[in-house]
Amino acid sequence: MGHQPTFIEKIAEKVGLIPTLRADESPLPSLTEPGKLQGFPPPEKWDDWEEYEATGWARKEKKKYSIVPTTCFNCESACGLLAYIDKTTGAVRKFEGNPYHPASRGRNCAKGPATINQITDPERILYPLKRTGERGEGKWERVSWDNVLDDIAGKIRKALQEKRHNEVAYHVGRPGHEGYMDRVLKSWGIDGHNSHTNVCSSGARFGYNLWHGYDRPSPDHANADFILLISAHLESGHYFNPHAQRIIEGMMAGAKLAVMDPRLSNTASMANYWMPSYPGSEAAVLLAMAKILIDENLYNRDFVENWVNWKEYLEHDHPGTSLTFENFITKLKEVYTEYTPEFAENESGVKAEMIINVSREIGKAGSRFATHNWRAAGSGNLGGWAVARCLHFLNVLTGSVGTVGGTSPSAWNKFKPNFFDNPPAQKFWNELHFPKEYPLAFFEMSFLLPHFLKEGRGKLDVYFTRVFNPVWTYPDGFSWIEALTDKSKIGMHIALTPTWNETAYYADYVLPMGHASERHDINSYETHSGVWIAFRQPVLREAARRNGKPFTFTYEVNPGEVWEEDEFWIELSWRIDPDGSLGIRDHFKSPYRKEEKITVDEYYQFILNILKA
Amino acid sequence: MQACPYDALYIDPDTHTAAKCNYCAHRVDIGLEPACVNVCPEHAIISGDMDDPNSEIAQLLAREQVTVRKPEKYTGPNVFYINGDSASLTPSETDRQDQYIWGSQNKGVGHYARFLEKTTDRKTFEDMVNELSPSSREMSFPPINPKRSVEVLMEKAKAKRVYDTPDKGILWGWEVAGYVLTKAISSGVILLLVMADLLGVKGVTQEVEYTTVFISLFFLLLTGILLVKDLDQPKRFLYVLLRPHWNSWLVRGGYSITFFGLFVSVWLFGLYFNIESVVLVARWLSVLAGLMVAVYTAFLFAQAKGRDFWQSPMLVLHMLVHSLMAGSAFFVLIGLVVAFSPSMNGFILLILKISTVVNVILIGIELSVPHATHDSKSVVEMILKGNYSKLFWIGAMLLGNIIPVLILFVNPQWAFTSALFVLSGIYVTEKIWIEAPQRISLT
Repeated sequence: MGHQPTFIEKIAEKVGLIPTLRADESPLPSLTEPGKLQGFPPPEKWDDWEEYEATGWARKEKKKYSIVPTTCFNCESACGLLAYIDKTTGAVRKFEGNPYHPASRGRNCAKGPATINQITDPERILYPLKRTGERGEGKWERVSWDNVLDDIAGKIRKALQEKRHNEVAYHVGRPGHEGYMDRVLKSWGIDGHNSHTNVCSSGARFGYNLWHGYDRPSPDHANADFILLISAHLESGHYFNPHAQRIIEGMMAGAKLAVMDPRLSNTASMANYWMPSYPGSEAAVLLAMAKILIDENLYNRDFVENWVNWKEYLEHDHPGTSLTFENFITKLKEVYTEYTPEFAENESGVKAEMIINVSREIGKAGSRFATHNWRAAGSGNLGGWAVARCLHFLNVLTGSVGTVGGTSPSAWNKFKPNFFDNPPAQKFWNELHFPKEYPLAFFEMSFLLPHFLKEGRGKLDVYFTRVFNPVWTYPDGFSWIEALTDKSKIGMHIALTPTWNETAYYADYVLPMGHASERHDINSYETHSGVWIAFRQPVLREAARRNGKPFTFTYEVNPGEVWEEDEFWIELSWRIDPDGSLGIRDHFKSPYRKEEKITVDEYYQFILNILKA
Repeated sequence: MQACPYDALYIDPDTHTAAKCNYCAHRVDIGLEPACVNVCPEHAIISGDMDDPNSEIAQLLAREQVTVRKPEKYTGPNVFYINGDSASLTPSETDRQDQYIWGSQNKGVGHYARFLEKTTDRKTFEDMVNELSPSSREMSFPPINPKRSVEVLMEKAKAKRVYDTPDKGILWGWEVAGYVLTKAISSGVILLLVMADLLGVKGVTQEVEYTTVFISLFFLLLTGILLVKDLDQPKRFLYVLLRPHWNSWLVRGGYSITFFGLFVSVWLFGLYFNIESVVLVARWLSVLAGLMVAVYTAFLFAQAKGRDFWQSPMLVLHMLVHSLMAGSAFFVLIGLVVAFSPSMNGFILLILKISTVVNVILIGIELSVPHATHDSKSVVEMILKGNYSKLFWIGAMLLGNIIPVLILFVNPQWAFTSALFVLSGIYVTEKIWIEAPQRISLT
């Protein structure tokens, strides 16, 4: 085996004309017998792992790593990652999947391993920056964390002392944690949470919430017989990696897939039925499907009779009718008379024949019918909430709610942590977030914030933005620029961000926060049938612990002075209440060491200890 | 890179050497699966031991209908596709687009690697933005007709290419066409001189012999320079000679050129020191090596299995005839400086006439015989009617062959113009023969 050099080659190597290719004198041991391969290094070798360099394989170059697990933060799914920390340089060299993560199972999309590009980005922000020129002028100076924390804490303290609680707000895009910030904001006693949800998933959430009070679906694609998706899941939709794995798993076991999407997405190209409906017409198709299920007796009578409030419906909408299930079905058929497949075809462009075929497949699948809508048709359309609502009606009719291969409410497959301390609910109502004229608002009316400020409905004295870039992502970025540059409307804007963005450009402080591998979080999402939790951790902190290197805060091991938010909020809260008179400190005291400030280790120790019990 | 029928090789932009997937040898060596297998969310890529009946891959192969790509190339492919869709496996089944919605990078590998960085380095940020903006790329979309769009999408049966690997461009460019010409001159003058001597043509003087040998060595040197220049890593030329794979015609050709140069130099040495036996032996060895130098490129091209058009058995004759044409044409040019005897002159013009006429016949046969594969048919189409038709009909045929022959018959006094036309004609023909097949996408 191997390369047998010719006479010419041997001479040339000896003379030094070409480099010598020698056989590896001390080859690395193989994990497996010849012909058998495994996916990942075994955990018992994670602390001390050696492998060949990809590009230096011909020269048998070796590299020693310490492998530390964490989770990805480039979408909500929080798939597992293994950070490979180079033992020579002490820096993270690459990321691979974590085979023990229950949702991603070692397989990742390109965004996971690409975390290395974020942490080595030469343009990233490494030190806290304070504005020196006017807002948006782009002039900055490096400042110390101590000064930053004191300055912001002082301002918040003053606002709280003067009962200006509604002038402190935290505006977040992707939270990435379970309840951490809600606890912090409650401890300050403010109604300070704002989100981006109203320009994103709130349409679908509202539709689901109307059904069962849970605002997300949790489909069991892997065990389904029929899957109906209204979005582009495979490689582009919500939870797409864990979902894509299970959709294909289901299909390999014989499930059929229907996709309603005007785009020929990757998902649509894999589907048995592609229904390219005109945008905004999805609900019409779903109602026609419901009609077929009802008319052709394809619904699950047991489920509908037991779980749908049909008696209240008859009493309210058809008073005088005797309360029998048969009467309910008769009335339902009357209501649905107009939603024929032909009507749906005319609305959507999807052929009536295909609508009929898909409906019958759904009826056949019965309780093994998995559906999902998140953004796609559910967002960006007036009445988009009706899409998720009509879609879930098909699950209700087929009795595929909470079944194997069906679609469960989100919370059934999601873990909620218990905290060491639960502050009381806030006593303020911030009308900049939930204005009274929008009583049905599902999530904060965040896109109106700059307009409310301009109207003079209020002001913000301290405004945090995090994973949130409205100047770029909101429909009217220029309104945000107007609000952000007006110091009478926003007293202090603090952008918490690992990298520059258009909104941070208009901040007073730009504070660098860690990427996926530089921060703590607990993650749990309803990616499939099953409850799981994952632990995101700053991998260099763990490497330092393994090496016995002393540290107090994560920023000491992170690049530059990059903090993690968990520690930032503990530290800030502690400084807002230096004498304890505001009662805030009480919520940040260690459950293990009396009267002392909690550490981030203790925070997670408490959650995970309860879990063990 | 030309040898791979799957276009799987590329020039690594960091090392500037050819690279390809090595089945993650660095991982497999220590018992880990290849990275692509490991990372694929949908478990769409399965690798393993096909000889182990219990392995997942062996069971899938036993159970599923599988296809491979281009089995007719005898590469013994071990990549199997379950439900392989021919439209996504065979490039000729779909049309190449200029722009793709999700992948508008159309130059990015091989010689074009870092194309963007290279071009933007010299420019301002604004220039880069302008260059990348869709409007500057003259994108054109068909008018949108919302009532019909769904029907069009649903009913159009023909597969459409929506994503593509970036075009590697022409990997063998003017250097290769140029080197075919220089080596044709270098070997051609030697072959012609020895032929003249054998046939008893009067006037093969020592002066003529010296001139011939010098010219041969000069063009052989040019050949070497062009060959090395064509490599992305010029130093790797040493690998061809010093880490030889004897099956490769690149190696055989490299050694042919080296030995040809050696024999002609010995010949020169013999001439200078007037050692007749050395001259005699060196001359014959030079002829043998010269023949190899003249024709080996045909075998080299035939080893480029990816290029169907180069598989023609006519290529050997084509190369030999080009060598005689180049040799005789160059002798005509020497005649402007060195006075040849009338019989030598006549011999040179005769060979030039005959080889050029034979060349026209050969090209005619090469392009008119039925071609078996889609790819070579496309190349013939490109030459006769497509992108290369003007260059072929005017540059190669008319100026490179027909006019020079006419001149030779009408007015031999103008033979030197004829020679110039013939030499440029060879270059143009080789340029077409080398470039056109590279325009066919293999993947």
